[in-house]
Amino acid sequence: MSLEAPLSASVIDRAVAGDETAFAQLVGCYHADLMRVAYVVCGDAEVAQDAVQSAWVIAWRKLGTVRDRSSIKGWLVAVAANEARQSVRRRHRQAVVELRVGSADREEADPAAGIERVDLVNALGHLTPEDRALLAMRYVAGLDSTELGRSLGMSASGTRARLGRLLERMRKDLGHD
Amino acid sequence: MTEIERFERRLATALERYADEVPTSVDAVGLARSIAAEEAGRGWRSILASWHRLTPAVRYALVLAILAALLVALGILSQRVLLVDDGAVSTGRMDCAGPSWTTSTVTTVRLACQGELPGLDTRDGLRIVLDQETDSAGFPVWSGRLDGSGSRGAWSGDIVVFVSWDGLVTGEAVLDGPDPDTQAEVRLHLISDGGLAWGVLARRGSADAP
Repeated sequence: MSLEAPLSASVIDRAVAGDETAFAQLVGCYHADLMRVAYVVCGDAEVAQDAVQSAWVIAWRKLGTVRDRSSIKGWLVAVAANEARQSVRRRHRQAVVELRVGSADREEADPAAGIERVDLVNALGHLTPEDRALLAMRYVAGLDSTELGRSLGMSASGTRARLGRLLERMRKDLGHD
Repeated sequence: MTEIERFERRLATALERYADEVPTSVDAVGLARSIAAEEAGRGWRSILASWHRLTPAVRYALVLAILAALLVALGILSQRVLLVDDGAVSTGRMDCAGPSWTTSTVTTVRLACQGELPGLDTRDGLRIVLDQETDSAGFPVWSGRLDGSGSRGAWSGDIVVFVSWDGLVTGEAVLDGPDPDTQAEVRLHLISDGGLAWGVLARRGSADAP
């Protein structure tokens, strides 16, 4: 999660008007969120980096289309998730199944307490990029169902239902049923 | 808390830990600057690329069209800014309402003009009525009356309007003022946007021209 406070509407307005300094503030505030979401979607740091770079270019061009300044984070996260999703599809590879189980420092300290990283990566690998994007936007970026629905073109209740089905599937895949 | 809620919490924690693996540091200023520079150049590059994709004949036609448009724009601009002779006592602009006319469609022209002219009293406006005639060389001209009024009295006189080859409409008139010893020689240019450039070339007597 980004530790910085949300930006004021005036900063966003200046960024929309092409102010580089304001746009840099926007990047500083939300880049971490975008990277984390993109990484969950692609499973590869370099691909995520490229996707987020593309997302910022799109943001520079189309920031003016965001009418509700308070939804700027949701919009940026959705753009990054979409770019990451397209990167995965373009590269025709499921990067999230590239397991790095030998890296001990990434293992859970207490396997019984939560979900093992290796299991999570495997389960994510069985999902479509769209489903991974939904999970990342909800649980990594912290978007609520209204914001998710807006970015997916669905109603909030429809988004909740889709998320519910996804949770059930993950629970079975991870053996928590 | 239900089982699915507990699972949701564990999944959220696991996803956050997984997301923490990716480096998130960024040179925000550098990134913003590079994107801004890249996008600024992109517009010109796309125009240049589009231009090079055109055939020579289309490029030639486009250049001619742009030059023609520039000439037309300059012509329009010259009409807008053209005022009366430099030696005018005073100059200004008025806005006129009336029908558009050509030599073939209208024989009588009625214009009502309003606007402040520097140093002149035109509070009640200016009225021009013109009838089409043919001059000795066979070209159409309009002649008629010009009446203006303000708080200090009325001005009126005969006016003749000529249309030059380039469409410029120029009128000249000698106006009699409210007093017998007051007279003003005026020249005006009717402009295609409905404006009237107005100049008092000479004035005798003490009263203000209309």
